[in-house]
Amino acid sequence: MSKLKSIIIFLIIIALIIIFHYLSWLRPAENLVVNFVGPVQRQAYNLSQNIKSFYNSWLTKKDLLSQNHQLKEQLKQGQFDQTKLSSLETENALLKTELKFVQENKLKFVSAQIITGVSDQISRSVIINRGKKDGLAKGMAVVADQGVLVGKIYEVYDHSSKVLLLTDNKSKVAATTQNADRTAGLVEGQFGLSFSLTNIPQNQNIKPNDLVVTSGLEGLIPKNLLIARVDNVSQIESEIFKTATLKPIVSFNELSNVLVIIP
Amino acid sequence: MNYKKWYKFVIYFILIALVMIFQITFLGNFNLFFKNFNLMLAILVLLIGLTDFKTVLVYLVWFGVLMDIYSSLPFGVFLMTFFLLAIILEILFLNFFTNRSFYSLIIMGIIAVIIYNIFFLLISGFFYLIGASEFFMPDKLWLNMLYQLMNIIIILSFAFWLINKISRRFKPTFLKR
Repeated sequence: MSKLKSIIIFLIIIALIIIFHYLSWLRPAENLVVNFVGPVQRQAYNLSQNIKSFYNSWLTKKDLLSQNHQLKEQLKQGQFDQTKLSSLETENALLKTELKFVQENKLKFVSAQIITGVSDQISRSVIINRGKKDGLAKGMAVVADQGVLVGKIYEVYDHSSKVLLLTDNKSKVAATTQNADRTAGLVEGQFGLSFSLTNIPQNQNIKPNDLVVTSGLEGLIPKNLLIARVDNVSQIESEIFKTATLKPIVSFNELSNVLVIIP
Repeated sequence: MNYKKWYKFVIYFILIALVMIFQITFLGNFNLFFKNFNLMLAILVLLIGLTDFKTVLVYLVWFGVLMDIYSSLPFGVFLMTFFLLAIILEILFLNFFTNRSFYSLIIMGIIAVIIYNIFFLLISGFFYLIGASEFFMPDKLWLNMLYQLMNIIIILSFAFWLINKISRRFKPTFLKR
């Protein structure tokens, strides 16, 4: 009987906690917990990143590393071929456009650090150490240090926010390619591993190595933010749209510092 | 409740927060095998065998709240999952696994993983169906479960060995015929 009483009491407590959460009455307490736990999480995250990076280097054979180093030196000294130059020129032009865009629109950035992943295995999300008090809001773009879009904010606390990474199945970002057609489509996550550009009309000309950027159709995400490079295009004549697999420019497993764009 | 008991609760609350950090921030940053170390599930199985049910529920509510704060699912999924799981485990413990042997502990762990996943899917599925959540099924459900089973056996075996070194609350030997 006493056990049943405990169960009923705890059931009521849990129900109240859930109701209070949705009424936002628990927000101050939740913020307190996040603020209290955040610094420890940041240290734990950094430690795990260091261990991962140490493990990765350890896995690579010593001789391969030395050979790799030599090749890199040769590469530095050697001349770039025409294709590479052309690719760099395109990239350079894009970056200039981006820079111009940022300057023209006086975009503000807030730098943030990833403090942890999320507690469930269902989504590909991370939590950053900047929140409402830093000017962040739901739907804002999160870019890696190099200026490459990596995700969108979907929940904001006072001093932290949850970011849905582009690789998540539920992630959808309006995008265009940097080619003559300015092919429009949707960048969608693929099983947490990669992402693809979908909804591309069949008549659009899209080819490997085209750069994919944001289209600016989403309110809080500015246009021309670099997303990825086209890897290959799958085309079935009978279908209305074609899909392009994208090659990420940054490694989503090694993200640690990011920037949030405040439009 | 006296001062000493409060002091103990605070220490355990901090320890549980550290377990959560270790589980989701540290282990969660590695590959799928490490991501599936559900330490609190193992702790729950141990607590059911070691302490009174009310205390188990107090710690579970705290852990559930922490997990829900750091989850991409609607708030309450972890709280309800752990609560329902604790009730089932308590019933199983009182009726079938009273002997506190190694086998009981391992079987309780295996059952805990299975029931946890069932409840988790049912509750997150419910939120998904009513449109409160965009997320439902993990990509590699069976592989996740397999790793969770392997991990809970590893953790409980280690915990059983460790507890036997310092106390007699679990049976020190395997069941004898």
